[in-house]
Amino acid sequence: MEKVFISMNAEGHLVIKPAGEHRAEQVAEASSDANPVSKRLSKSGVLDSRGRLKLPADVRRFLRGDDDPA
Amino acid sequence: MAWTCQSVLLPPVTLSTTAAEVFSIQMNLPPDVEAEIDYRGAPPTDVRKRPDFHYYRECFIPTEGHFPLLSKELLRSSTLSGPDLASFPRLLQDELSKLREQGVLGNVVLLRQSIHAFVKQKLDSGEFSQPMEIAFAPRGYSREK
Repeated sequence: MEKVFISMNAEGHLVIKPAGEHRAEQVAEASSDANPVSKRLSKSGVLDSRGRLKLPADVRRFLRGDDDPA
Repeated sequence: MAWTCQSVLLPPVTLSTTAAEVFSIQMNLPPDVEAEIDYRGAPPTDVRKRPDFHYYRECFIPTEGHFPLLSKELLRSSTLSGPDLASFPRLLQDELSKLREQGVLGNVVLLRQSIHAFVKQKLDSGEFSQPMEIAFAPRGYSREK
């Protein structure tokens, strides 16, 4: 069974993430401390730890064709 | 929402690496995001640790190996074999980077022609004005169609 990390966001909603994703965010945040822009973008969830756009899962599925609209 | 930036659907591009088309959207990102991607998106400095590293960062689809999926999709329609097959990911990565520099390939790569056709139809009908609006539309919308 996949491990998950549960936290509460600023709006008071529970957020459940795969543990691996949570760890990647922690690493990204730690490594971006020296760069204020990097830190802001990491915290806002714009980029992942490798600098790629962190599009929502349903958008990623659409772009990959997993939810074929045809 | 961070993704309400301008976007354009680009025409398909035919690759020379394999006789296949690649479909893409160009998202015009805020300058600070572009700068941050340049800062963080570089390949690993020590390639000896990752000799098989294949990563086309302009796909911009995080996690779950979008680039391997793209390679697999393209290989499915190719007739490559032997050494050509083994070197295909690296050749593809190089060609995509060149096309991106030429401005004919967008920074969001679509994996299927059907998605490109669907987005184009929605734009042509005037229902949406930008491709990423369609990507962000509630999924129930696209399933109903």
